[in-house]
Amino acid sequence: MERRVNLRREEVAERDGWLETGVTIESPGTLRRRLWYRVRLPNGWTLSDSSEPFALVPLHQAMRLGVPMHVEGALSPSLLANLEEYQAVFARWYPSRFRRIEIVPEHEREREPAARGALFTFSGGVDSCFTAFCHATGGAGRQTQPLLAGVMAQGFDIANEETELFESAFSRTERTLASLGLPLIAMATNVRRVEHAWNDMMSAAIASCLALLQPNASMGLIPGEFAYHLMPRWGVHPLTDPLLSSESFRIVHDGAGFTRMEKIETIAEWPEAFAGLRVCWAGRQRDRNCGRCSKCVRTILAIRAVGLPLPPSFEQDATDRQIRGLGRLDRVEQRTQRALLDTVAERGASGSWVRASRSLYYRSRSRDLLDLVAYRVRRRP
Amino acid sequence: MSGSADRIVVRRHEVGLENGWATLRATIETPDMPSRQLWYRVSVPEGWRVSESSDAFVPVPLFDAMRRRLPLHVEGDVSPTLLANLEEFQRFWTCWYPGRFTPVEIIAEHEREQPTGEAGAVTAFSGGVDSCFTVYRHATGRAGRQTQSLRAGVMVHGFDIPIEETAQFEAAANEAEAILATLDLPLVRVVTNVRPVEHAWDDLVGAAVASCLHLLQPNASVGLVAASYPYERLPLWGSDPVSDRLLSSAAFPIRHDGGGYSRDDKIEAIAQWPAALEHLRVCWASPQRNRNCGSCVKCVRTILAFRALGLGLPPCFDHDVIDAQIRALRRLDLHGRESLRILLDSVERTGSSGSWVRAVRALYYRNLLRDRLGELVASAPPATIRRGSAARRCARSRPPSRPPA
Repeated sequence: MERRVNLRREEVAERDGWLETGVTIESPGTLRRRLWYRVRLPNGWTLSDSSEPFALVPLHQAMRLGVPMHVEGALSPSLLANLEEYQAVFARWYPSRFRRIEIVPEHEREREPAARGALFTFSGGVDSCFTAFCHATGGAGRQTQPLLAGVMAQGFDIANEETELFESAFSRTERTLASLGLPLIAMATNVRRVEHAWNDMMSAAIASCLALLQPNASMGLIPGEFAYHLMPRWGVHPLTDPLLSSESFRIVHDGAGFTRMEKIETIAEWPEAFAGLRVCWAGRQRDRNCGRCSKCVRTILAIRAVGLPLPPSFEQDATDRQIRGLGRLDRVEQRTQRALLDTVAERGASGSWVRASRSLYYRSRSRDLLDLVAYRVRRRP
Repeated sequence: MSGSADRIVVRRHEVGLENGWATLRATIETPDMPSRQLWYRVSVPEGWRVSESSDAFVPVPLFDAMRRRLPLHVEGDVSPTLLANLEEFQRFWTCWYPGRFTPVEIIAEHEREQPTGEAGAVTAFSGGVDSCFTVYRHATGRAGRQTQSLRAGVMVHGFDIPIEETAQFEAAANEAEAILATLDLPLVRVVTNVRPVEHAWDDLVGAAVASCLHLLQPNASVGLVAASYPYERLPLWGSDPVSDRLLSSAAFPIRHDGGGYSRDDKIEAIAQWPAALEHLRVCWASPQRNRNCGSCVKCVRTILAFRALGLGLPPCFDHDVIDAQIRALRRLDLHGRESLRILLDSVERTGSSGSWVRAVRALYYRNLLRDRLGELVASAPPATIRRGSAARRCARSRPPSRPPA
């Protein structure tokens, strides 16, 4: 039998107020697995019957195995063409991990485009708040999209079994978004159980959730974390995100034109969002910010750099010791830290935390340079 | 649209047609500066026509507007989708150079989407490795589901060959025409003064290429810009897969093509195409623009890339490279350094060895160390590193960039 990944579609079923759909993944050398999505669909909305949402996440496994992927149901030719380039990017970025493979759908068919309007993922963090606020208030210029709803998925940063935590975070986030007059749609998925390389497939997972709602919108916005000049090579990227698009449902990487500091300053104009910012993935209570992990510390520093007070959603402020405790920064973190220091210099912020931040940056840069010298000396014939 | 002291105005002129050449011109009025002309001359193939829209006249003057923080007013029709994309394009550049560029408003006299052009693609074509690969893979159906039906290659006089060197350009264009003829594709010649108008070539290159392709929009539905670098080795410069895409309109998407392939892949592909090997033109340094000098960094790295793949010296080069020529290259610009990194990737992959590999490696690391030290010194607070110190001397500014392939 040919080595390949097969995706077999399941019927949509209703359970406890959730619509559930999914695929069975058959791959060589592993047990069959189920990839499922649950949605609390707003009244009048419909779920996509296309197979497009289900192809994006298992594609990563097929690329890793280097085998073709057969998909039951229909995929659009425009998505298939884009996914060829999507694979090309990942195969160049990680040649030992991914190979380009063929995707073979049962049928090829373009979808009918839905009425104009955008969906976006919304976690209540800096990036998604920025995206929601800019588009809802016309602050995204000519790229402003009429927003239809935010989507918050359990199974991304909040694990599938942490239902209470998710419901608590969802209620708070729903209230935040309601202050802009926008609904929030709850989803749940086991994508992270099915495909473990979260950093590579983050946008694929987000796009798969958004594409499930394709009959109701023409576009899905993915709020990007990094500005163009700070962009690491990872799964949420302005290069790869648009390649998850089809003709009828465009995926747009949003907000890469702004640094974290600029985003925070913008969000400060939206008091409900600023007060309830949720950036932490490390704390035991996923609906609050621990104030100690590197993401919390970086966000606190960014808030300080633009001269804003610490929002009440942070349980504690960061100390200089915590800043120094961030250790040696990698190249991406160095660039992010550089952007922070540039803002600090521009705004004239000062204090021991600025000295600690600066020393962290230069220590890391100097160590990198010494490593490079050592590497060269070792390789010299 | 009347002139004003607080904006840059791009005034369009009538399109002139003479002896098969169309001339498209605009006057750029900038406060406190004499007016400048931006012009393009296009050899229009029979049955083709040039675009009457002003889409082609927005990307290049936009850089000066961003630098001067002045709104850009453009006479004529501009596509709303291009305007929306150019907002993000400006954000891209502002992120990279916050001190140099600021996003500005672009105001078009009329906003109107262009009707979709003929099916098929036009591609920028210089006769180098990247553009030959793009043409070859599309013309021979090797671009998978992204394969475009090519309508023509577009070679621009005024990019690598200065506009006053007419005979040299004609000689180079004849070589390019000979390559394309083997695939039954015509070559469209475009002459432009974009470089005298906007000097920051490294930032401008993608915009300049896209503006030339936009001129031919009625005759094609896609414009291809051949990637100079693979996705994993993208330096910051004017032609990037993210920013090139932002030069698209709804009727004319601009695609950055071939980023999914290494230089090895490209060379191995075009090695199957004898006409390309014979007429390949990679050199921007040779006074004879249709020949390769064989000693500049672009010639050297191309010859060595063929050598690393065991393909020998291609007929477009007169002489092979000796180690002394590699060592003589010394201080490289960003493109030169990165091209050596890509060559070293190839050397590691193919297991090539010899004195030339050692010479390339030494040259690359010498430049990398100097550049890294330079970055550290440049980012340090002024008092941290003594003026005139060894670190400052060693990290002196990078040489000006050479134009890309």
